[in-house]
Amino acid sequence: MRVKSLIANADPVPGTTEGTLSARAAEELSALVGPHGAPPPAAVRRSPRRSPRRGALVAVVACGAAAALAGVAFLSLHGDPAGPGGHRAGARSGPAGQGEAAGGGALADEPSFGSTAELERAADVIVRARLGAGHEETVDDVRTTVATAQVLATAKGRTPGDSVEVSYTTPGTGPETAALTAGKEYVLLLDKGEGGRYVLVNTTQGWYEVEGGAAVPAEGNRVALSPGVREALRLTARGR
Amino acid sequence: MQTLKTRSDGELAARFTALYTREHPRVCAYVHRRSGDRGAAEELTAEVFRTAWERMTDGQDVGTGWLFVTARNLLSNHHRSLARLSEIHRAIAETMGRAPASDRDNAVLDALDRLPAAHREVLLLSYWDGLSAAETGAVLGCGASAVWVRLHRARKAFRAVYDLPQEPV
Repeated sequence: MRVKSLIANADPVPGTTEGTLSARAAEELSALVGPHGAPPPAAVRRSPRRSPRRGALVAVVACGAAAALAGVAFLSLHGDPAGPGGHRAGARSGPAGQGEAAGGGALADEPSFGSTAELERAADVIVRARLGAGHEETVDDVRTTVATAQVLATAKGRTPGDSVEVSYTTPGTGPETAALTAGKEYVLLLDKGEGGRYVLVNTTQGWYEVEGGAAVPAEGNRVALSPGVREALRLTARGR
Repeated sequence: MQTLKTRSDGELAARFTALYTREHPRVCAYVHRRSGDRGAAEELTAEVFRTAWERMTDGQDVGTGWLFVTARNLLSNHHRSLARLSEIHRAIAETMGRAPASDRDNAVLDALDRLPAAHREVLLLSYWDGLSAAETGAVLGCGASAVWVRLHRARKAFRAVYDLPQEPV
């Protein structure tokens, strides 16, 4: 059984819901932001997951302009590609995802993205690039390849120059590696890492090989790139 | 008509409210999981966000990583944070009126307790608290790529302790 599933199932506080404030939390918020902020909740409901004890969780029902503004701000931030939650390592709210596909085999514990929007939102940078040879480093007993990728086109974000340094677990050294080959062209969906390097958002969906002018997803990845990203990278739609 | 000050105050309040609404449940659950005490979790979380509000009104940025780092620092003073996960799980289940942990869950908690703290923390941040790699990196003081490396190593260690077969190379 997968490590992630085993540990997640033992969570003593499951089902944490963003945007659901307890009565105490709502009162404290009102006390902090004062007259410029959200008014006290006009109506509350009990969370069906909790036992009816004192201090049980209740939901803040949006009412008033300030609460509506908070809701808009929440939705705005939740959709912000630079904001948190773009990809959660252990998120259970999303679909089981490609990482659990039979074809992935040992690709068991990474986060995965169930939609084009989620995937592209998770990346800080989306580029079309040609991968260089790179060199290997060993960090905490994990063999890592660091390679320079020459950027040919950018669909999202800004790179420091016309190349990026990409760090990924060396192919063939264990589970959760990306089958990247030096000299080939890829669409790379990258997160900013340490020291100016970039990492794939995950090893299955963080790269698409460019073949015949189209982006080919890796085995087990059922998410396509958006038309906007394909257009920015001068790629055609791939027939399936 | 709104003055510049009242409009900026309103914008600040709106930004803080959005951050609070989104992150308060997560931070509170983070503290609850490590203390076993819902009341203490609410107190600590309130302190986190009071400090966050002060920072924001002072013109400083407050991100998700900062919230969890602050919660962790406050938690380090809470004696319950030293308890074993199985004890914390039992305390939470009793308080919430839920069934005790199954044999398998107890085995998982025992395996987690036997791991070095660094391995345990990256696993819990990822699989219980649901933090992204960037958020986890902020708490652990490393970058996202290092988080993946640490998570990979922690999973290997967990499999060894829990006696799961290692994945083929």
